[in-house]
Amino acid sequence: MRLGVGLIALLTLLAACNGKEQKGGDTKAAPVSEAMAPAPATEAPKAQRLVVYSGRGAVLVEKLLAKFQADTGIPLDVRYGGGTQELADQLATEGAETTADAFFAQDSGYLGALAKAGHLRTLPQGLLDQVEPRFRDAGGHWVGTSGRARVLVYNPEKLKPEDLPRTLEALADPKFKGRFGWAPTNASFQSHVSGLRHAWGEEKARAWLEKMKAIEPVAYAKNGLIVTAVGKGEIDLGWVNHYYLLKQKSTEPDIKAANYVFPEAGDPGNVMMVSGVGITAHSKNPELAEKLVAYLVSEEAQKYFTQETFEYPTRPGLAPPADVPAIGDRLATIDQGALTDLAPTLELLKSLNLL
Amino acid sequence: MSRALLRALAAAVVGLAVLPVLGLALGWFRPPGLLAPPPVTLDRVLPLAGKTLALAACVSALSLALGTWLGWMEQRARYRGVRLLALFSMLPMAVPSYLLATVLREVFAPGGWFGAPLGLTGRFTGFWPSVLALTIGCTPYVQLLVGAALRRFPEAQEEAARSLGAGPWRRFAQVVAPHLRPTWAFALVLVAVYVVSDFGAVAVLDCEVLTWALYKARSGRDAVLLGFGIMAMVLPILVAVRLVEGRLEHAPGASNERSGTRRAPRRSALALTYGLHAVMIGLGFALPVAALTAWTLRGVVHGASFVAIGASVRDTLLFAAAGAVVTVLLALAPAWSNGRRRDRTARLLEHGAYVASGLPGVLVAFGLLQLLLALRRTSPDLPWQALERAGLLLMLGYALRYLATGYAAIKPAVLRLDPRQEESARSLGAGRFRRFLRLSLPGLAPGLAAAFALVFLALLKELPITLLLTPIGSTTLAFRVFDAQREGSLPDVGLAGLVLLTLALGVKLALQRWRTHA
Repeated sequence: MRLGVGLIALLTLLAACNGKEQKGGDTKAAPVSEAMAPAPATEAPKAQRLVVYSGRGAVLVEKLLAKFQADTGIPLDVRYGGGTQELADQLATEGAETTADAFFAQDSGYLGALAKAGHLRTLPQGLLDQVEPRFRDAGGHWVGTSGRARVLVYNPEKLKPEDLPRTLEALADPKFKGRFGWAPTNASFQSHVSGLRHAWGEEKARAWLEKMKAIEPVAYAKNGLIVTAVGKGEIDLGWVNHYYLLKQKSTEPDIKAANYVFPEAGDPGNVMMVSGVGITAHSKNPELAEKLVAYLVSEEAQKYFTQETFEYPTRPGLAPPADVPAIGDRLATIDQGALTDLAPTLELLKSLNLL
Repeated sequence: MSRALLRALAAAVVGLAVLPVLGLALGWFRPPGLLAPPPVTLDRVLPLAGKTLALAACVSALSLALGTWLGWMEQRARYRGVRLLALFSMLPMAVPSYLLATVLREVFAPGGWFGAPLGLTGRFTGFWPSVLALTIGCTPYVQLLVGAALRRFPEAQEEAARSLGAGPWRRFAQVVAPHLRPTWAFALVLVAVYVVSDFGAVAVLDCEVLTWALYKARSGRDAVLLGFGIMAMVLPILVAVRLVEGRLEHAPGASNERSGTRRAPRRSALALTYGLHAVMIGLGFALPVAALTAWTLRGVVHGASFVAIGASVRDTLLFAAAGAVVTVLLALAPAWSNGRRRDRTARLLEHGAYVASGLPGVLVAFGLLQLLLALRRTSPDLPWQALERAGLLLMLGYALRYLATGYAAIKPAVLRLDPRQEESARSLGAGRFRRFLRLSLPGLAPGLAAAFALVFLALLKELPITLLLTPIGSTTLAFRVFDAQREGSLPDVGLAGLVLLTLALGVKLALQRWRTHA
């Protein structure tokens, strides 16, 4: 009995603390404003909580979003869980009934698909101009918040750089049979395949995927798991975004894994993917959502992406973090429109039983 | 409250179980999302169902064998540390299956603590690793059930067989085994339903079974079909549980507790027992604690920027407490009604409560989510968003999943109430409310507190309903563990896992102490 009473007392106390915290947050909320930069904390009606669906994991972006709340006073409710694909699908299903104001995607592919289906509104030009043109939607529906290079991650104890393929196409080599890992359900993977369809054409892309299937790749749910798997020797190499290794190295400096960029300049394996954000077509708080978008491309947030998640900035004039792969002069010329052409890619992957 | 009204209320509570099933059915008519759903075919469901059954069969067989051996040795053998080991054997029950699975996946990876010395290659995921994780999780339950059955077994029969020269194996096979058969049957269905419903272990270990496939499909007719596939598998098992449980309740000689005679076992049997204890307690509890601590310390040493979990601790405790209160309140109606009147309807309501709670969490959550979407489509002007934000959907999911836990703890307390006291109070002119407040409630209090604590403990660790129905803007420790392991961030898994384990263990130990002293 005392146990039950004790627990209830503890929880009542916690509930009281919770209530106070929320009230505090509300009183600091900012008013609707046209300003693009983060606004100082001022009064805002209690109902104006900004709802964000985040396909990026809490581990990666929660601190930044918390800082946005603290800096602007705009109360934020973030839905994590699932992933970019699941949340994009949920948003599309909810349609006009959605509570989401903004969609923060791990990758531009689903932003493109949402824009094409009419679920994202056009952003003000002032916002779009904050980032380099190659990191935003040509139609103006979303803006890139950080860039990630697609690379191979390999275990230096199992493979030397000279053993690795010079091009992505050469990755479908029988010598890698059972030693290679990828994440076909992951948004970055799917966007990259979209890019390959445009760079190589439909037939060559399909043929390459079929050859890749023949080397029996190990399928993982996420890129981070591939990097861990390479480090632990489950597999010898994997196809990932560059920053997962750098993040893991920050807590495990001796991890047996290294990033690898295809040496051939312009190879379709060398692609810069973009994380991005858009405002939903049915947002009840578009002005507040614009503040969030402005914050995510602000210099402060861009520094967070370079220092905390080891990504490339999308805002011009900022230096990428140290230790990121020097991919700049070897990037393929694949535009964002190609990377976001998702629906045929998904059909292709399904037809090959990769999804 | 009149009896008829109370019974109607009890029926309404049990009837809430229809909601997720209705939601599931409505999901069929849901408009397509962003992507065209895959074609609906039985070809997809049948292999998943087969694998689910195979998993349940393997885990049931292994848990039954291991749990019976350990239960038998615990009750019949004399060896050093038997009581302490029996106590420690229960510790794996405090470790959520997703946490155990994450630890096993990492330590048995080729470069992991065990994977490296064992020379393992390839990833430690899929069917057999899931069998290992679930067997470690289920064996303590079997050990408890078998131990309890052996404590009630008349010693004279065993002694008579011994005096006739029967060896230990023959005594077990011919005398004890027939007595244990109903317990085994009960344990078998209990483990089977646990495995078929499990989400955490199979999700982390990427084992393609129905629950994990349903979570991944999430939308479209494919998911609906998977949901009904799970129901088709679970419902017969749940009905079997009820039938077997009914028989156990009426089993003869089920009340004579005894402190059996302990004998020194053979050396081989002793070695096997110590070995099994080492594996079960080691892998099931010591290893998770060690791994989570090591991951956390590694993060601290290297200055990792941990995600702030203060709010998650608060949300976990709040949701678990609120969910436990709602569950206990809902369970009170059928428990009170059935405790007061034992007839066919009462039995049916009881069966209904148990079957409703047997539905897998991922199915309940998915069904309720589909129902909400359907309601939002048909009546967009109603405040569905406010209800969702207030956590009502989460509370409903929790209550449906753990209604039977609350019911089972409250009903004995209702049965212990003395109707004569109430009659006296009535004759003295005390009103219905006053009688309940002054007489019934104090009598029910231990049962209500036990129900609260048991449900609270279960909700601390619950994963699928929490993942799918937690109000937007809130995160729980279970979510933290699941999210961090998917991102490969082991320091964050370590910290959230340690806090979760400490909370669960604290509640469990407090509950144990309270039961001992009650």
